[in-house]
Amino acid sequence: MMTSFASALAPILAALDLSILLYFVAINAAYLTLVACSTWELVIHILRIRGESRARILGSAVTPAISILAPAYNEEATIAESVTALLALHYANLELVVINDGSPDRTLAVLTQRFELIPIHSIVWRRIDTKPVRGLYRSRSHPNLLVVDKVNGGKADALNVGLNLATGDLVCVIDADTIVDADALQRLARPFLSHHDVLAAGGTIRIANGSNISAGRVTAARAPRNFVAGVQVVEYFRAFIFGRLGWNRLGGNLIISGAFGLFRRDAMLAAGGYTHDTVGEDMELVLKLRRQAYEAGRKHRIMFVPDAVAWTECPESLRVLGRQRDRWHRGLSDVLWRHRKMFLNPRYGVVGLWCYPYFVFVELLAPVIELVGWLGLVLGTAVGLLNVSFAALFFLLAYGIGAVLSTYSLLLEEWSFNRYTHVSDRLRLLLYLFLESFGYRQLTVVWRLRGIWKYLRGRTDWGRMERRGFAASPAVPSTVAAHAPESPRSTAAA
Amino acid sequence: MKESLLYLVSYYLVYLEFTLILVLMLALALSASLARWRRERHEAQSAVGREVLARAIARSSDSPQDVATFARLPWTVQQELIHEFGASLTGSGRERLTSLGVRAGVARRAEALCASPWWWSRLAGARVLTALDHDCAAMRPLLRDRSAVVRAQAFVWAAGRVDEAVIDELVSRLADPERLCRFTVQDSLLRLGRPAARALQRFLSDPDRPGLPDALAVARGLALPELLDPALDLARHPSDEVRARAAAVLGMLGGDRAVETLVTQLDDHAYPVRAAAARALGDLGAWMASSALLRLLGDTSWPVRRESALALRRMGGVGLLTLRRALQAENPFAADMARQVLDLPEAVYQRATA
Repeated sequence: MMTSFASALAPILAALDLSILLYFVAINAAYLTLVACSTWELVIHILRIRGESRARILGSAVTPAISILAPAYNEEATIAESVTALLALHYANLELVVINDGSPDRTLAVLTQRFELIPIHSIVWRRIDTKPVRGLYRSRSHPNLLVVDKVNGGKADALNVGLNLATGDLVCVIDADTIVDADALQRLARPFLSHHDVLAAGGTIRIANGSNISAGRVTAARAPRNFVAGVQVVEYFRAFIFGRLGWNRLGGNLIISGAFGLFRRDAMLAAGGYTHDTVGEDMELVLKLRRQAYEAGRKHRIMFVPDAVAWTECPESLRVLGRQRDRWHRGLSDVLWRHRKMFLNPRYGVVGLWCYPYFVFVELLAPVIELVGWLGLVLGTAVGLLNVSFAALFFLLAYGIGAVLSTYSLLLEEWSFNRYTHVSDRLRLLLYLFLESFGYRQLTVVWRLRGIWKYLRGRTDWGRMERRGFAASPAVPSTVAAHAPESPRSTAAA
Repeated sequence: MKESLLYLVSYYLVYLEFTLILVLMLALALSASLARWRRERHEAQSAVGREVLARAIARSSDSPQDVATFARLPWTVQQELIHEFGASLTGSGRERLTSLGVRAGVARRAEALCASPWWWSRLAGARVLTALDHDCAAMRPLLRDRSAVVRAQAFVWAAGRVDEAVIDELVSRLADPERLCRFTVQDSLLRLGRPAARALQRFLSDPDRPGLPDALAVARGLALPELLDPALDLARHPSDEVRARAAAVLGMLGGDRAVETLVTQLDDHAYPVRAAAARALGDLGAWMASSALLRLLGDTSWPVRRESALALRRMGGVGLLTLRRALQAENPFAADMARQVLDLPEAVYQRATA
């Protein structure tokens, strides 16, 4: 009985083996292409910015105005410090729009008290439909600060309200708890001064856990002691240094992180702003911008700027991280499904033919393929068809490629921006890098599968996030519903 | 056979990967140690260099010993210090920095780099010469360099040169195909100020030239009377963008002819032109146009209504009276816009019209 079952299963397992092997070759070829492109891009970038004087951008009368949109929900503990830090960014022509998305806590009261807010009427052109605005406030002490109080409608809705009110040529979207490097805006604005067809630019998001933070700025980057946070530092390196930078060269960037991105306001308005009913609103916006540009036959670029840095707090517990990854994967599934028309469609150029399929096969379906692989492994072992030595060799091969890519990303970081200067930090990151394949990686597969499953069942909630806060306060079990820190989303080679 | 080949390839790949990991880790360790060593060395050398530069800037002449000490510093340290000091010095301080840079051989080396076949070397050279504010023949060819980033750097350097040939070249580059170059040229011309007026006037006199919108943005910033005639002509240009920018220039320059043209532009078929004309009339405080602006409060375009209302408020007494009258207008859009603008607190209004 068992023998006949095994012989019936043998051709299926052989076919599965071959498919997985081919998938493995294809996926790693894609990674290696991205690695080559990102290295090239990084070298060119470093050569371009060496000795650059950004004082020019700071002081020029023709520099575009930037409006920062910072949605806030239940941020009473950190909002005053965050807003003060944002107002102190080194950019001359700056407006800050803080959108209080119906927080039930004292966010608005704290802002009113700290920044001497006065209620105003404003001349608003409501080009995007949003939830009602309850009040608008200007600061007496900082005339470039506008605070909007609105009915809760989620992050996308809050950003759309900000977009209706913003007056800058460029709109910078950040999370209220993101820590932005003082000169990051100048760096992020660079592509808009260099090319006329740039629709959006995104900066690097780094993990702030464990780093020294003072007066709303990261003063020294340190590797987190917490394993879960530490592994995410390595993941973010890979995602930003390989993923985004590599796609920059190939012209197919699809993600601008919701935590720190700069957009042309007219392009955002023409695209109708953020979509409400998705949890992947940042990727959805970029795909929408690109799709519209292709359909109108316009040349366009979405750029990634590696030296424009913003810092975010990442989850330190597996439970919260699981919810975050599950949400990211639901967002990815939803966005790819909404824009399925682009899939392998030559009308959408490099995005339709390369980038979109990459996101489908590598980012979206990787956990499914991995699950199938594990099932095949279990089944093969059960019926005695598993070639143990080859399976071990294959595991080593897969592990080795991941480790090579991660070590190379650390090396690139060392050669280029070199933010982690302590030997102990480098060693700790190396340790996280080698340990992530044992347990952590398998967990991410489970979380991502759960995301796909929930998406198929129509779940669209954001899940509950918990943050410790940058002031090393005890865990804050807050920030429910619609706001959560973001996101490397694509974690190439994870 | 197939299987054994697969095994063999996999074995070799695993060996290769683990060798690569070792090599990368070694490179990481070496790179970290090297970076640390260089940082420590660099800090000491930079401190010496800073001291020399501070002394040279404080005195009226460079001492040969200081020049020799600076010349002995590594090129990277020299470059960094020149950039650091160059960014914050003007006047006689800058002249002393230039003099030290020339005597220490920094300028000569940068000039040599400007002739390099590699764009990054030319860029490095151009950046040093810009920081030194050193006028030299080596920079002039870079105004037409094939690399946009080098060209843009040369335009930054040109902002400090009051030289007709350089200014002509700068102005002609308002039509550069690269956005970066156009941005830098605009900025440099604004920094140059009046010396750029004649070349800009010539550029604006040709209505068929590409780059007119950027040239008009410069003209608005310079606000020189020589630019009035070309701006009046361009107010009738076929391009909406050019007409709108010309309106903004007229709003800075003023005079009867400018107001007359702007009032005509209030009936333009393109809404950005009507909005720009309304704003310009507000800038000029042209109260005689208030009845025309009152009409525009009911315009079909929101930006035109907004600019008209803000312009009326800026006109003072007559404008405010007109806005109050508009509160009773039959057109609900006009009444609403008038109310919103009248309600604006002073600080917000100042910002809205800045």
